[in-house]
Amino acid sequence: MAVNKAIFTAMALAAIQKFEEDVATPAPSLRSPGKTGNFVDDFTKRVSAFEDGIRGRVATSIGNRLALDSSLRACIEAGLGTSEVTSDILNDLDRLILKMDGTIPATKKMLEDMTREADQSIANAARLNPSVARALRKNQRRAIKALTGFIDCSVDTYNFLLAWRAEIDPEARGGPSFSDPAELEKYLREHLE
Amino acid sequence: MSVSVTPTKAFIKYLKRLGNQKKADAAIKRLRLFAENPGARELNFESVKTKRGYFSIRVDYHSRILLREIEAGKSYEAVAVGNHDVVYDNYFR
Repeated sequence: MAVNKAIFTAMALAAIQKFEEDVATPAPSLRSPGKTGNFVDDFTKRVSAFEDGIRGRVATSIGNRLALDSSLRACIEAGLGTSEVTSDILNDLDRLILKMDGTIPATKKMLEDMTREADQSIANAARLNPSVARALRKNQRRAIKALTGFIDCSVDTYNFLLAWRAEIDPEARGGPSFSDPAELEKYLREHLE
Repeated sequence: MSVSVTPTKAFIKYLKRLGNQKKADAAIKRLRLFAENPGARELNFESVKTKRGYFSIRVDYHSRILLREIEAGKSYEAVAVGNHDVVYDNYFR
């Protein structure tokens, strides 16, 4: 049983490590060149490559989530054992959560920049050729949809990590229960001081 | 309909770590509102898709409080404050 615990703990820590590597990889970029000589064709190709890249990242993230979920579940079923093991897993989860605290806003910023830059290009194109502007707009929507999906997947993962952290942390269970909302507020304010 | 809420030690630590009185104040007010009326529209109460038994409510544009369901529709533990929310459609409007 002790061997099982050690194996499951090692698996969980390895799964977190793999997750960290994925989180540290920047989101795919739309800037990669694709030179056909035709601006609309180039942009369409770049957007397609971008969508493929995002799909790959989302699939990896879901895979990592499932692997971590099953290894943490196995750890819990085997009994986490010593507080040292619990604290090792909590520390690693904290580090991963902290990383995502940095990467999610960075990707949201990327989405804002992408939207602003594309809006500018489309406005410029619209003055010269409305049909080019329409084609660019269509591709811009595809790129935004892909990146939005990636951010939402990252937020789902972030919540997953917070929930698992709460599942393992003994301090995330129990305490005084309040049915009176005013008492609840009073209690929280007292504890914040 | 009201619900009972248990603020855990971990949740209080998250509140303190917000490091911003305004944010902590907003989180406390939202949790109070949840205890009073969990169906309040502005809370956007929803399940955490990736972990059964967990739910979240909105504090502001970025933050959500994570809740663990103890008894469906009746009792919840507040366990964390998350710093991120999904991208909503009105983001681009």
